[in-house]
Amino acid sequence: MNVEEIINKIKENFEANVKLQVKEYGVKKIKEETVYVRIKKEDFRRFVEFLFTIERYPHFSVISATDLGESVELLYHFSVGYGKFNGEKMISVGVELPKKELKIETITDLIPGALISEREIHEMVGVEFIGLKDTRHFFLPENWPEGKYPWRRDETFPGEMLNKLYETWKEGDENE
Amino acid sequence: MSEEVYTIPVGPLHPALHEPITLKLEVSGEKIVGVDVFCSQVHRGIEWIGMNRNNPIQSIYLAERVCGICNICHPICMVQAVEKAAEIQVPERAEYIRTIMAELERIHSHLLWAGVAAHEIGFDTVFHYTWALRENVMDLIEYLTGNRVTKAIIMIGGVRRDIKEDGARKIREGMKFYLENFKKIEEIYLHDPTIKMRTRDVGILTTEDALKLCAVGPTARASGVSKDVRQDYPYAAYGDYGVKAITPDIYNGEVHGDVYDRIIVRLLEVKQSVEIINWALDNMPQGPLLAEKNLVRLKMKLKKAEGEGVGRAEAPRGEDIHYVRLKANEEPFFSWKIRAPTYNNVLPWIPMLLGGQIADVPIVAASTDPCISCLNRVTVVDMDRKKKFEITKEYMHELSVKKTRRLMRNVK
Repeated sequence: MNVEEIINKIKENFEANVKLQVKEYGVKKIKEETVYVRIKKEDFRRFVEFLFTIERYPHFSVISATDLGESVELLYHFSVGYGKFNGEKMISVGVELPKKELKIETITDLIPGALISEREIHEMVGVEFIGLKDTRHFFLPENWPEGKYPWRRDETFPGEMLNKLYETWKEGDENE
Repeated sequence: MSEEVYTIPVGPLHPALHEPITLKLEVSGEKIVGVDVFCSQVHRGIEWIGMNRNNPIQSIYLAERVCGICNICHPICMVQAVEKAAEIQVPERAEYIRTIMAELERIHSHLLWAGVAAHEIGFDTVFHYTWALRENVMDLIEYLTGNRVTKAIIMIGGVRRDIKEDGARKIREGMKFYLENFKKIEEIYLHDPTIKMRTRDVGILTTEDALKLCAVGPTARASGVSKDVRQDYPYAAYGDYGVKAITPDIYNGEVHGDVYDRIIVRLLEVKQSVEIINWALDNMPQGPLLAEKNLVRLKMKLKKAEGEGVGRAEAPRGEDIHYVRLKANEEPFFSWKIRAPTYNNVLPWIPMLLGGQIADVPIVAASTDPCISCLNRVTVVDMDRKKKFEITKEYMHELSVKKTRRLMRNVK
């Protein structure tokens, strides 16, 4: 499936803001294609299921999060069409979540490989993944204070912990 | 033998790599029946610094320090993302130089890995021999960039140093050296009965699991998934060359998805890298190295730019991806996400280790070539002190060596 077909199919099935980014590389000007799709939160789960109609196992790379002030945007990076020369297309799916309701369905039941990324976004940004069973910290320590999120640009950012990395606990410390 | 299941924490220092990661193994006797992985030891907050303190040019050097081994792949990824976001076209010659540098890195990384793998199963002579071979490419890298480790050659919109006639000659000599020695490395790693016994059908990752868990790089390829960013989504000069992903069936017509297959894939990739480098030197176009030479002007351009981009590169360990978003009139990145290959290759450890033995843990974990510094980026506290008993990395290594010796006796 080429990139136009993918875009048309997305537009047919979803009410979405679709943007195509093309970059050329090398002497032969080989094209690298990335599709950015911004969709409504309600459609998200259906969109991931839709990706399975293009590729048997859509490859999930990572979730990136951007604090937009009133809301947080999660961008899920998928790719389809791998396995043949220049056949792969990146599909980055963006969902905006208002800060009052930072909730979205998990995709780990469809793509088990998304587990670490969902746990990371859960601890770093404070998004709740509905249906995600394993919500332990992965990168942050177990005794990390609750309600502090390092990747947010608001009052939940743990600013008081900055520049105090030398104060980390060592073995034999009494107050731990 | 009691049926009781014990939990053994391995780490925070990893038995194979001397890097902080914790594995919790549930064992029944010698058999592993449950696996859990924890990181949370050395997250350094690199993305946060890029999003709050640095300007994009400073962040290149930060990206370089994500990992001591993949210090070309991370900056390449980052600058590609920025170039897409700010719509900068890179000169062709710069793309060829990036390709050559990335492939030199792959050679040194794969040889480093092969040495570590040999050490894990107790072949320290092989380990030193492999690392001695690796010195050659390290010297080459030093000659070309001025540094052995952080190479500081990648710049937004191109590269900082040219490869001149003298450098090209040295690279050709170096590549000749590796082609001459390849046969011997192949003989040692792929035809030695003990290495084969320790690695064949150990730590199996099925094709299905590799796809479901989104494994990347040599780990996925060894399970028969033809997935290589250089092939699927070519960047730099790889599109001109036409890379073909290496799966173990190219070598012997079968895919097991075990540690041995991962050795095959990496060794063949060293050879492939040598070919790519030779090709790139022969076909290198002339021209400028940078899209914008003046750094102040470049900085201003990036400050005004608004947009987003995804940069991907095939690091020695697999797909590396950076997402960058720029906002007008804001100097640091509005958003930056680094995803190193080990991030995706940690989950596949679970099916690999299940059913195996404790003595196989070092070689299986090492077989995915994990890079914990890539994966972790905040110095933190380790609270995991409620252990019943602990296995140290030395003890684990000893177990591994003993198993090799045992198998060797059986050969005779």
